[in-house]
Amino acid sequence: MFSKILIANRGEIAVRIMRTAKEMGIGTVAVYSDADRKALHVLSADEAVYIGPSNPLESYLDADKIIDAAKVTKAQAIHPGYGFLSENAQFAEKTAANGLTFIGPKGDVMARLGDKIEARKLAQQSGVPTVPGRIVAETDEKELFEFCEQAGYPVLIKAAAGGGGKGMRVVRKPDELLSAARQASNEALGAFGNGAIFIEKYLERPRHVEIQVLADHHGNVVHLFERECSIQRRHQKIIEEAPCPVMDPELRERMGRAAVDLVRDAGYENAGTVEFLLDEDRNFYFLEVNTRLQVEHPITEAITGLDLVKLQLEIASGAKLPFKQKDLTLRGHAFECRIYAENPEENFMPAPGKIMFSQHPEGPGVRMDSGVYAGFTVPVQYDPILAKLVTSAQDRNAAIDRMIRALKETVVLGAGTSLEYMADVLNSQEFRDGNTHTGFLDEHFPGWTASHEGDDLALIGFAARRLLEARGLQTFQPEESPTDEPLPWASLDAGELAEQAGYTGAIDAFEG
Amino acid sequence: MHLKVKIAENETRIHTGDLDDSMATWMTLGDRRYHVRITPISHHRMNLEIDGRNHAFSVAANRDGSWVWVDGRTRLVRPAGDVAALVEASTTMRRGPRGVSAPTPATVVQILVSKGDLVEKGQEMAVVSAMKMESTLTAPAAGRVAAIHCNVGDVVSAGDMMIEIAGPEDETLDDPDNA
Repeated sequence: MFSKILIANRGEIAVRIMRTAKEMGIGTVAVYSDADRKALHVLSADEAVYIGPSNPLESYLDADKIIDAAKVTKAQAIHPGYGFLSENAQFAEKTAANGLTFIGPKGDVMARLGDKIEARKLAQQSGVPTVPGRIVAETDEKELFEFCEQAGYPVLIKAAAGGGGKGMRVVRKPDELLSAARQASNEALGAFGNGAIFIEKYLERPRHVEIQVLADHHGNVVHLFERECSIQRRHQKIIEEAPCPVMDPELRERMGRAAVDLVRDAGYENAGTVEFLLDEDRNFYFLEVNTRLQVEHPITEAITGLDLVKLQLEIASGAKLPFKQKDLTLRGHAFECRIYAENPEENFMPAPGKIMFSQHPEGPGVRMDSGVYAGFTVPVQYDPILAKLVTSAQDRNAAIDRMIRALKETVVLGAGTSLEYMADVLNSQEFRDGNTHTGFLDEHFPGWTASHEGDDLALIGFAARRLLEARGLQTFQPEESPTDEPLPWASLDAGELAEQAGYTGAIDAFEG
Repeated sequence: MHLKVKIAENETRIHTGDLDDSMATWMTLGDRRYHVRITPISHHRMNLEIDGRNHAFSVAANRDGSWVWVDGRTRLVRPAGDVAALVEASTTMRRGPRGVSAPTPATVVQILVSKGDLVEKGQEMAVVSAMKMESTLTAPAAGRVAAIHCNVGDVVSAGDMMIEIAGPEDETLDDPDNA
């Protein structure tokens, strides 16, 4: 086993990796940029190495600086976390070429699985279902109808060239097919100078279901069951759960085997995730492979009782997987809510700021993986995730109740968050019924705003605090008084009020 | 104590009595009357018994306003009415020329105008990136770009004036024919 590792990341994931390293007696090295001098991951590490300016390109994405930091501190391995360099094949190769262990798959395997077209081919070779689709000449009526009969309606027609939604049309009946194909082709021709169209089966209200896999260096591959991550805003997950509410043992066995076959055939090593779409008829289709630890890995830890980071470190140091597939069982139900600095009333626009006060939820079945603390100013340069809240209980409903309770215990003052939004989502009947799909939030919670219920309580609190201040702060214990921070309400002097109003005014000039 | 405040755009008048020896008083919010007993706990925490029911509060203030957390909800309470108008007036004086200011802390990605350019209301002026999400800032009014106070790559704070726009009235003052 390694005696020291470097964590090439920041925020909650860096802190989470360090926790396991400490439990295993492994030394930890953090890297940090200008914006992160006082970040929690720096405070949590045994050693910390400054790697440059706040711009991630000059620090967290600079492979050479990170490898140098590992060499200088004599770390033996690099854990990339998620994001940043975690899926960068050159970084994995460079790490190995410098005599260090990259905690993840080999660079060439990562490169192949990271290429979506290549990964789709690999999946097909391994017998894993992919969404049926092909490039068709719009004039080839016979092939168009043939495809639709095989794949079944509805189908999606889009431009074969380019990306985005150009020419995209959903066809639900055969008599709509030819005109849709013609129109899509014309739009494609206009936009890309190429009228070729791509036709694929259209999945209605699909669920995002992914399988966690583990592969050691000795040919052993297992899966750790599934997670459902359908609750997404701006195509990014915010609430995940394990297991999937509509899973049954037979489908789990088939999806698990598909994922294991794919990563085994690809020569994959370490922890990875195979993502699928699951349609309403319980057909599953390969989406992509994430060649790293996922943000939502704690819910798998909750239902399996395993520590995925510990297993990653053991696999990377050459150990065999300590269990076989038949040894693995899942127990209970778990949810994760991602706490981002964002404003759910303004299309989830980032809402960074200085965290003035925070309080974490506690109690049975509650886990908080946080990357921030009160007094920390959340940098604007990085992903706005502040923390992840995970709850687990004996069944899905109990885990939902526990999550709502924990969300309501969580206090973050100074940055906007989606705590209340997520509590409303979890508490909705549709969610409780498990009727989740990737369009769930757009369908059920468009234009969400916080309810006015409870506004009176907040106003009473505001007035009560004013009354206390009018009495003078002798009402507070001296040791509770801050020495270096302005008093909460007293700090609202005219100058700052003016700035506040200036800030409000500026919103008019802000689009997007 | 009389207060006029708002949560989002909802204004409320608050009227309170004085605290008695047991730290209790009455409050009216609009036409709703409450009995409130306060237990101060720390700088950011207090407990209130409101009409006999217990509620834990967390509080903090910054230039956005006063943040109040209670029963799992966080609300931003801001001054309203006369106070707000006063603040608005002092702001206009402080800010001087109009322009584009940063809506949130952000990194400047692109500046789409140059000093001296004539711009229309709504014209795209700059692109900023906050936490990997890009936003385009537009001109709040027509006019001429009088000054650019930031460079690509700069980190700006919420409210920072980035691009100043001189409106037609400012131009008139500069016009020698009009002097």
